[in-house]
Amino acid sequence: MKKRNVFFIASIFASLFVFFIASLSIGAYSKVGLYEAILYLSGHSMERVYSDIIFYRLIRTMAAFVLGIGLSTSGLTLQYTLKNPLADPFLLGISSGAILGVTLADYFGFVSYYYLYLAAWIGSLLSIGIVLLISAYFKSSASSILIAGISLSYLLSGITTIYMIKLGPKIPGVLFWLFGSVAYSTPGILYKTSIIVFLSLFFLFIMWKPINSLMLGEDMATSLGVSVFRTRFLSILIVSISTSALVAMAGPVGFIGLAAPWMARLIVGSNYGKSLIMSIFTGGLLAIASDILARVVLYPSEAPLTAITSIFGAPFLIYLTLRFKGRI
Amino acid sequence: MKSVEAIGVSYSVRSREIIHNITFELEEGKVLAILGPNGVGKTTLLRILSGIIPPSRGKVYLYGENPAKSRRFLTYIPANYNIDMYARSLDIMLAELYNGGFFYGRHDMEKIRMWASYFGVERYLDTPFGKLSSGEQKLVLLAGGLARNPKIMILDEPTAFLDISNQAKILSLIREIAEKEGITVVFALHEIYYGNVADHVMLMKDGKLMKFGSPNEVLDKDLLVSIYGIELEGFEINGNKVFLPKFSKD
Repeated sequence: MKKRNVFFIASIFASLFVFFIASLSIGAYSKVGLYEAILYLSGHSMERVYSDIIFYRLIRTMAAFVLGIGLSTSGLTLQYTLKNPLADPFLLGISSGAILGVTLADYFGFVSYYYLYLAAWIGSLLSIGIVLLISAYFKSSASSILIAGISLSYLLSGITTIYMIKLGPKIPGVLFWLFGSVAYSTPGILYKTSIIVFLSLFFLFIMWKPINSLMLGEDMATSLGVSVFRTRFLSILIVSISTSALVAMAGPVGFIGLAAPWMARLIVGSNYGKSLIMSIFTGGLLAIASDILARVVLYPSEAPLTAITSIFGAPFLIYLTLRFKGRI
Repeated sequence: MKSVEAIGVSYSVRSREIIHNITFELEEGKVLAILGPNGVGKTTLLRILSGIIPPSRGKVYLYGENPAKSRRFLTYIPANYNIDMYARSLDIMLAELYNGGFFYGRHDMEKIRMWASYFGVERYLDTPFGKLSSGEQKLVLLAGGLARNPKIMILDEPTAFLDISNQAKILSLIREIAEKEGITVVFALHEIYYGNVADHVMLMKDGKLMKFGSPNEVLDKDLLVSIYGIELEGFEINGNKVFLPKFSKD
């Protein structure tokens, strides 16, 4: 492995560690800082309020980590299966389905976090289900799956807009979720989401070779013995289930699913297996860093996660592209 | 030993027959060039032989097996490949290996390096595929395809888009792998004069096999004129027949 790559991988692991500690130390309640976080981690007893705050920060840090892993590995997988370097887990109508679900739940008066979570999940699964049915029925190509997904997205957004206007003064209930945040994650939801994300990661890993061979195009992959349709269908299904759970937990957080896979690919190359493993860390890092920034930029109140990932992620991706010029 | 066997192969799309009842066989280590105008079904026939699409009627056997089961010793390289242009050449070649264990090992890397240096593309291993010229891309794909240790290679227009030196390079490599490694090569071709490189030539028109035999038997002026529908001029160079279109300059 090249020195430059070893350096990048080492710095990603180091930053992951630093950001993890930082994430436990930073928050609106400034009395709980680095010292308390270290005490907590080393198992010392402390005031109940303090340990509760650190536990809350730990949950949201883990939620951000899982969110980053899920979005990044899903984005990477779709970039391979749809053969589109700009694919992102929300391209197939997953987030618009979730947004419609939340909007409808709010409209019909189910406003607790848990109901919104369920509504988002059902909405996104239904929308991706429609896209997958279309693709299975027509045995369609990568580009027609994309067209189906994007069209459905617009259709659902249209319906959402109508209901948002009908919501009127109740609209903030949807907006807080729409902006994206890991601040509302509970241990129970984090637990369920993590299981889904790690299970889907496991299945993607098992399928790494067939997914990797899709980079050769349909005919060459088929001649190698890969069932292109089955590989594409299964991987999209796995990715959709995991992304739906994440959207339900944290809202439609953009950009991680596009930027983190590219960071991974620029560092370890275009082999799907290697970049799948690397994108776990780039995604986790990007999400934790963004969540910390979300707490800092509007201190003591919080900024929406989507805004942070876009504002800071975009220049970073451009920097990487320039830094590794010639590899893209 | 018979390596490729096609018996009464036909292929239709929506009741329109594209390939009509093609039967032929090849011995191990022989090179077959398929000639014919655009749209006569050369690519379709190659895709059937590679097991990418099943024939509507008839059977194909590669070393006595169904193509769907003989993939571990088959390499297919299409003319219009739809390859991820951002992927590194090394990763493309590794993806072409495909068979083998769950992970790639040192042995796979060695095979790839060996074939890449054989084809003179070793310095492009880290280069994105899209940054290579069409000739270099073909050489990368051939290197990866050979690293699979195939017994049969099916190549769709391996000389397309290449300059004359790269064409010569690829054609002499095809001869070399057939003679040295005993690999059977089936390839589609537009340059009639390169038909001499092969052991057998197949002429196709409208999905039908018009003639199959040695280059000297098949490359017949009257037959070629009737198939391509243009006037041709014939030459003989070192006992090989060469045909070029007849141009009138005034």
